[in-house]
Amino acid sequence: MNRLILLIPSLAVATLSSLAADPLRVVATTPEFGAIAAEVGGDLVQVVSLAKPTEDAHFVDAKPSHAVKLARADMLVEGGAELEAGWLPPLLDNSRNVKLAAGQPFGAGDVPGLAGGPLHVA
Amino acid sequence: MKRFRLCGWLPLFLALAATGSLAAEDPSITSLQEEVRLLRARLDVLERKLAEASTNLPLASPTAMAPPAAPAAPPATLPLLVPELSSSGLSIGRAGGAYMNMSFDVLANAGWASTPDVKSIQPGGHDPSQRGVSLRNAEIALDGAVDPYFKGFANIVMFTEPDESTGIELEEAYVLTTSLPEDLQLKAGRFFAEFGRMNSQHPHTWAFADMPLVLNRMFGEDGLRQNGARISWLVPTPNYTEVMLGVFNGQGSDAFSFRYPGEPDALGIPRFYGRATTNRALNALGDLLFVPRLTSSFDLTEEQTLVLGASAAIGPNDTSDHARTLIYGADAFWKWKPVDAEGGWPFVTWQTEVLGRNFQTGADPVAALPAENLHDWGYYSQVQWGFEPRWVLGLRGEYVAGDHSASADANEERLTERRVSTDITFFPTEFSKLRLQYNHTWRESLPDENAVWLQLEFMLGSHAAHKY
Repeated sequence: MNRLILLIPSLAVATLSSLAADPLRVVATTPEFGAIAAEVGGDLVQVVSLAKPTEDAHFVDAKPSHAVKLARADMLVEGGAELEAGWLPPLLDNSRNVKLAAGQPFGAGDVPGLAGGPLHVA
Repeated sequence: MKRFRLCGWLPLFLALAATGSLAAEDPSITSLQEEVRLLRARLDVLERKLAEASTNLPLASPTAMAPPAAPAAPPATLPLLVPELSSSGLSIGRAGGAYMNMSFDVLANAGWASTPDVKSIQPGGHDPSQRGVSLRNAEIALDGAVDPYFKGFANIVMFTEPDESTGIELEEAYVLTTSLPEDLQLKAGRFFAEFGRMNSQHPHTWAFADMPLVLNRMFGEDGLRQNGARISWLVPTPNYTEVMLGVFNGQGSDAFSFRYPGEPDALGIPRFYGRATTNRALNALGDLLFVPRLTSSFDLTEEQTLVLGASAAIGPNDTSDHARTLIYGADAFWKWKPVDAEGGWPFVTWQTEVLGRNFQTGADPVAALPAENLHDWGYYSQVQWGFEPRWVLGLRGEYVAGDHSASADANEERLTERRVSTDITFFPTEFSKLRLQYNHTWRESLPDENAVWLQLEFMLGSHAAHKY
């Protein structure tokens, strides 16, 4: 792992109207990614992390409760590079959340306040 | 396009022709004529560009029509229909970054049983099948994103028989939807029915080298696996609750308790539990096999999770034109893993499934057998203790029984059985394992049997992660 922190926002779909009412619900795979998401998003985001601070990010249990958090999320922050390969894919399948589906477009402009902010932290 | 042009311009031409004599004198008509000329010129340019674009583009997509002002894009840089997909696996033969994980997983067993008829104490299709070495599961697993709407999965399993021939089965081949609304998800194709916990798990994820006896009794040697579809709904509750309904053909040996005609007797007549069977076709919706399931999970503490489930399988069977089968079950899974676990160790899990079956049989007057309602029930309960990184100890207890039938065959196939197993597994990595297992089996009116199996697993390639 040359890149210690690799922030890949898989997707964020947020309409302006929904943002005005609710903060963007962000799920981060690790507390570290969660901290960055909270820093970048400020008041505009509500961040939940899946792995516990003490937990090895390669060996997180794919607990069903994680699938519920992903199902309700607007955005996922994951490390990628196979960090979560052992547990995140079945959770994402089960979350059936189209917003987090791979291949969905993401633009900083979708999230007011994030425009011009860091999308990749390396 | 052509029609539009004719219809659109014809009235204008007619109007111009009618007023042609005035055109020379009227300045407003002259300017109109000039405007029409310019519009026609622009239309010609547009049409030419369109013709060029369509000849360059075998794959026409709306986004491929470049605006006329912009230079025509070369085909190589056209936006692809398949969007970029995040990839962690092997990319093969598909543009746009689509991926497929491909793995090959082998489970081999070496060992000895006190009876030479190993099948009688190890009825599972992927269990060790003989004294010596058996290889009952070499599996090619494929999975990947089909497009933004489907994920695809396939398992092709090969196994060697005692006569050294190789069997092959299309174990699973299905798609899973990714973008249905209202937290719904559809699975369609061929797959293991989601009944209880273990039926839908592949042998290499099992805690023991063999399948629990109660699952063999209810679902046959390979588990309940059919062509069909399953709809699932993630219920909007704070904890995890999922409701599923599977609908299947319910035929053949992989739907053992349902429309399975059984094995042919000495005269070639297929029989199930002594009765000559009829080949019931699908005549109505009620002839399909329905498999509902409800499952819920609770995070008891930071370190403990409990998953509970209830399932049923309801469908017709082949012992008469009206006979039906109901299988019902409850399952529980509990796991403890401390917050400071390293690499997944230590942990303790407990898993139990309890199943019951009501099997209506038809009457067979030739064999002097009445119509009956046969009841079977049983359970297995197992504990796994990951006591040291890479090491797991397991203990399992099992029981299965059935009530008395008028058919001697049915009684022989539905013995009361108990089995106790213990195993120790070593995982050099998550891609290989070595397991030593001991089984002790008690069977009604038969001698006790012992068996020792050494299991080796190795996995090549990239394999999709498993459900909790």
